Amino acid sequence: MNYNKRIFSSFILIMFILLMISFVSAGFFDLAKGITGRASSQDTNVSIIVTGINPVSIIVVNSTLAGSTVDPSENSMKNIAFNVYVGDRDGVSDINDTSVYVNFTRSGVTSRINSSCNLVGDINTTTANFTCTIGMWYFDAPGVWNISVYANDLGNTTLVQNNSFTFSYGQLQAIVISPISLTWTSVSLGAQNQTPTNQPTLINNTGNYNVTSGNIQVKAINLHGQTITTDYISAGNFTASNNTGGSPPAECSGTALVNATDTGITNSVLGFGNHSENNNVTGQTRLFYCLNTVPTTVSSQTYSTSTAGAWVVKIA
Amino acid sequence: MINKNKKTGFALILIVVTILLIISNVYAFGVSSSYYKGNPLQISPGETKTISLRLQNMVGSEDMTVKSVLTKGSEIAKVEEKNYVVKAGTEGLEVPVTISIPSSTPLNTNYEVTVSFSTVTSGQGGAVSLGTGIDTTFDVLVVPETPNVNDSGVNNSIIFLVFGIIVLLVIIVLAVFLKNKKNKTK
Repeated sequence: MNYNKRIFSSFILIMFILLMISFVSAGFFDLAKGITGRASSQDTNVSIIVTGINPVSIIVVNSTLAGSTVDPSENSMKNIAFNVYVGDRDGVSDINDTSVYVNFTRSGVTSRINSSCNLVGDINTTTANFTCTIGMWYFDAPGVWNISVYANDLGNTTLVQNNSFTFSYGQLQAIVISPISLTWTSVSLGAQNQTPTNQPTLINNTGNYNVTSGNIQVKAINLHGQTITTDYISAGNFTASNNTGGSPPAECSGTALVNATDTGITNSVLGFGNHSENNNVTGQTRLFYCLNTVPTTVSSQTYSTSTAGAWVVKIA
Repeated sequence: MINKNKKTGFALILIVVTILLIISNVYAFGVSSSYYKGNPLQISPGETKTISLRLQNMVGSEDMTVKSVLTKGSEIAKVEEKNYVVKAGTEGLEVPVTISIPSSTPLNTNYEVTVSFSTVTSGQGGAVSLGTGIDTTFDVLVVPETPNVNDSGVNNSIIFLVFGIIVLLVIIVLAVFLKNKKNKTK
């Protein structure tokens, strides 16, 4: 019986020791690492103290934006809405309701500013809820943006700023081309340096992706006869360029196209920016085409992409 | 004669309408991504992650059919090659890309994955009909496995180890207790 008691006592003792063992440890130098550990999903809060006659706290709550990725919207402004809670231990009446505003900032680029946030209502006697909306354009740079929040109270006019939050603005690759077809007038067999009547192809960058040299590509397809479909004009008889003018036209000494192959157009670039400036440079570029030589070996008929498929203007 | 004039007039109207339609139409679609060159997807050896590329069609007034093809990174990436119908005025149509890294892959290995999107265009509508395409490329960086830590910051493997020891001890104590009881009964 005593033996059993001893076993039972030993068991209790072991259990007690195991429970007392700490599951976490920290060294002295961990102090320098700051607070460790990963937070679970939760509202992201930060408090800012505004000094004044009475200590006033401003609490910013941003549970919808911080830490997330926001996709730009093609060719338009995306309104990003989120909430800011402002607290004051002296009561909501001490909060300067017109003082709350936010900026999105990023080094080297234009900030996006909301000059004022709107009061939605009081959460409780010391906290008020504001809603803020900032428009981000399709041409705003991708990457991490800082969220800067400003507020003050009536007891102390010092404007308090908080830069604790960031959000990621995603990358958007998008283009619009027009017109969506090329047309040549009637050309003679053996004719040279024939350009389309409705060029150029205008390419608008409707996203925030920087297309570097050689990454505007054209996949040309042989043009087959609409009557005798076995006859075709090879894609290799065409060139494309971002230049035009002169005699012969500059596009006729452009990049030679290759059948069913994405071919980078030399020196053609497409940066991102406000393409509505419409200057053929900012968020915009043009492509010019040339039928260098009409083969003499093909029959007289209409040739088009209707048999073998459309050409593709691509960004990479 | 009147019929002939009518036919000519009708043909002219048809041509004008066709030209107007061709002129007014634009091809537009976009691909957005959380990962891109300079902002790689980080993944550990032996791990599998599925990310999404998101299609949008916010400019044109017509639905677009867009075909997806994986053109680079097939050793680690899988994309269902199919046609996606992107409704006009919409964004966020997800194209899943599954990335699997073999467990033997050295750390800091960098892969490049490219998914090519292009409009499905008939080729009709002019001498040379034009469609648009977008190559979306992102980097995949192989990084050390992050410890499996729960919300309280405690490594899960330590919890399982301690729990296992406790269970083992309970079994041993019970076995000894029962053995003694049996001996006493004898």
